[in-house]
Amino acid sequence: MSSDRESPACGIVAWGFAIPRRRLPNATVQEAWGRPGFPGARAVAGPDEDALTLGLQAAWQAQERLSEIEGLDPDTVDGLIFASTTSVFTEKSSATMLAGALGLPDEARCLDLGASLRAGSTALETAVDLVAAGSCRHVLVIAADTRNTAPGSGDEFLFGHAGVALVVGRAEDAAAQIVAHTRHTSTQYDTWRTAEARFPSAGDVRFARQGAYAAPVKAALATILEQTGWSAGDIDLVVPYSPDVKSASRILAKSGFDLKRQYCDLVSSRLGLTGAAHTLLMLGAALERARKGQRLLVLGYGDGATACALQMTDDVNSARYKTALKQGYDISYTRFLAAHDLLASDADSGGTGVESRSRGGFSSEIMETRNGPLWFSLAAKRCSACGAVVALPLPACPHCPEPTQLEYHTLAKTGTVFAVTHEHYYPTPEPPLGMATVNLDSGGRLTVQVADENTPLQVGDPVELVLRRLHDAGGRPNYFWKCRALTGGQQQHDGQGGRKNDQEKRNAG
Amino acid sequence: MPAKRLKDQICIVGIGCTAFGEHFDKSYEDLVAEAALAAMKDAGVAKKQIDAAWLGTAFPDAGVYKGRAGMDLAEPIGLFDVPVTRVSNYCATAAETVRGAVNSLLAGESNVALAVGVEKLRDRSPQESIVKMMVEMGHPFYQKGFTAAGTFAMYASRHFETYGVTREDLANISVKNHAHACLNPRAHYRREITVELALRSPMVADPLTVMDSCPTTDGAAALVLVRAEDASKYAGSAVFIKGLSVSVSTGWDLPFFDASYDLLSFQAAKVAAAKAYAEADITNPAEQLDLAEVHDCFSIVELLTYEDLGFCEPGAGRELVASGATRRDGRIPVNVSGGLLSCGHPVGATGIRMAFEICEHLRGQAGDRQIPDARLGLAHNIGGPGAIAAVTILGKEAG
Repeated sequence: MSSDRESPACGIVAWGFAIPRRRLPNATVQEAWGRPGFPGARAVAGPDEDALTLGLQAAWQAQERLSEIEGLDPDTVDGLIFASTTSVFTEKSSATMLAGALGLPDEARCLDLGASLRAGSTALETAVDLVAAGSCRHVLVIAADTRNTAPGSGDEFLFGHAGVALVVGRAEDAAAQIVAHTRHTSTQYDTWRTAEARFPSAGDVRFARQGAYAAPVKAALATILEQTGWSAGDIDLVVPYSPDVKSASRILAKSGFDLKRQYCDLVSSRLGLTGAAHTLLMLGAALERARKGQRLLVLGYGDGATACALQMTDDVNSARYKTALKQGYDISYTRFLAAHDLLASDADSGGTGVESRSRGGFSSEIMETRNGPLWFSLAAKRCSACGAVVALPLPACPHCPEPTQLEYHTLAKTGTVFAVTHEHYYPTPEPPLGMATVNLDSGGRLTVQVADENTPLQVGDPVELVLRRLHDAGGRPNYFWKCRALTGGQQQHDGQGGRKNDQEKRNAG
Repeated sequence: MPAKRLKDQICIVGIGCTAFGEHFDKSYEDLVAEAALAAMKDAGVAKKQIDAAWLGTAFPDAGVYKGRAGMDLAEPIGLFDVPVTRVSNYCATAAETVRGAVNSLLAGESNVALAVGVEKLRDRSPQESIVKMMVEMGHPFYQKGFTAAGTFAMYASRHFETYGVTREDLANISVKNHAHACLNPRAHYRREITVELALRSPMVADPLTVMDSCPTTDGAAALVLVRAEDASKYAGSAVFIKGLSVSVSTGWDLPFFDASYDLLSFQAAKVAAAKAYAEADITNPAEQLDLAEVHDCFSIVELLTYEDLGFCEPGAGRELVASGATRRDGRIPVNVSGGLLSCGHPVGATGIRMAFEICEHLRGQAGDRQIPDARLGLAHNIGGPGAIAAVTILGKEAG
């Protein structure tokens, strides 16, 4: 039935998550449109986040995890697959941009996948094949999406934003071995988006659930059980993409699964459906719940269905997903709409009348290339004579009486706020705009914008650097470092919503 | 010490200054002509007597694309066939015009020199001028997100943290300078404010509010300078230049990208003051100076300038202003004009406007705001933000 080889000796070695800290409680959207809906909230990107920044952030976490594994060289990642239906560029490879930002070798294989909600699981399948074939030692699979519906549409509350990264490598290094994988393709229209359209369209929902969802999922499920020789009862956790709350449950219940014991979806009700990232995000979250020896079955969806069987080779002592879940804060519907250009407002100008997004500033790919090591790899200059660390592309030490040799000094991504202010007149979608001077743990200092600022940063607060979309200029986004509170736990997300956040209180005052 | 002593070598014999404010009815050229011709009239100097001239405009691109070269002074007043040079050094721009004139006179290149500073910002909205400059024309990444207020707010952040400075301390400065401006007919704002009003005013870049920030102002000011030995030939009552020093002590970015900077003071101001004091034989500035015009573009800058200029110890600025010592009737009056906060800050004109203010006091022409028996005054500018400083010391008589 399937041509896939059984038990390729591959597995998932490391993983990471990027969950936007902003949460849009469903209740606030329902209230705005006066319609009943579902409880819970979804994770939504800020105005400076997109598929690329979320993907990068998730990959950093995976890289960090990889570097913690004993006996493994973290520099052996030689393949990268990026999956997204909301890639920033139609023409320019996000995968190569990510490979550059992550320090992968120039000869690394880079592949962009999109055009389908299945892109994430297809990326995983492809990575497994690349490693199994010996073409790559480790493949970094990154999936991230920031899909939106039209405001007010019936399924608006379904869509969340997130990024996830999985490192696929040899089974002996892996926390979970990939036992088998398969797919079943359907050409039926269920959801689609043309190149010109801003929002996805959907056909008849009941028709789609039967033909486009249920039929291929059942087929893929049957195939994977046949390939593995597992029966429904042998599986410890089944991780299904479900386009609504019931579709997956119905199929699984009929197929002999005990939903109470086996059904594992740690994502959908907490973050929303996260597009091409969703299946891998659910898989990553499940890895942190599963125990050694347990069997996992992951069912993906999109232009048909995918299925992937895994077996845990080790206990995973990691709670990155749980931690990221907690680091959220509620935002208002208005803030969400403004952040995603879904609201005609003065927000783009920060109330100043100066448009920022269309004429956001001076942009130079020439300067970016020249200063790439410093600007994007945080390789500051350090004076060989006096030891001063200067995060500027200076030709000579500004403190020494004679010109001295400057060497590169890599800055840490963590530090402490030395000075901070909030600009009320700088055009930004979320005024006021925080600016912080950060003394980094490696020595050295940067002065950058503050990201994800729910509670105003204070002098002395620990922060981390994140790469964000600074502004749009020169016909493209311009990415640069920002800082944000290290813990992000200022307001633990309660999932109830309806609470005015601190930032908005501050603006009102 | 420079190779050639400056003290008492050069005199200001003509002063001119437009009213400061939003001159919707006047162009860049109108302002240039008004200030320059007033200074020439004051000195009793005709166009043909001027050997060289300097034009200071800091932000032609933020304004109306005027002031990019010396011709923008030459054309409005028909001053042709002599060297006219535009200089620019952020907020020390006007001081640079004076330095150019002084050095030309000292070198013997000219016998009569004209220095003009002008800024015409209000042919655009304030956000379209200075803010837009930092949003759209600045570096792609470095300091992206700052307006001018934000860069100085970082110094306030450190003063709050280190010395316990409060928003009330900053408000005291704005309240004082607004009160001073009520007596200055050229001031942009002539309205008293209270601490409560200052604290209530909208935030610009915390902790700095609208009342902690100078307005966007049009204006021009001019000086006619000659060598001291020629001063008696001119109509205007001569004022002696005792010291003039400009220092660039860091860069636009360095303090924000190098952890060795404490963001508590401006090295440039300390260096410029030390040199100017040495030139002018000043050892105890708070005692010897009768008045000072300092660069209060934002209230925090006046506060830390007290410390940089040696009017008080580091960290004691808040007590100095609270004590009333820097009021018009205090021990060391600061910004009797109303300062940048209330008189206004047409960037390229400000340094000369300060010299104009001090000359008026030294000449006894300052009307209601006259400091009795003023003999020695200081003008101070900070620019870029804090990288550049100019200190000029003027005296009533030689010696």
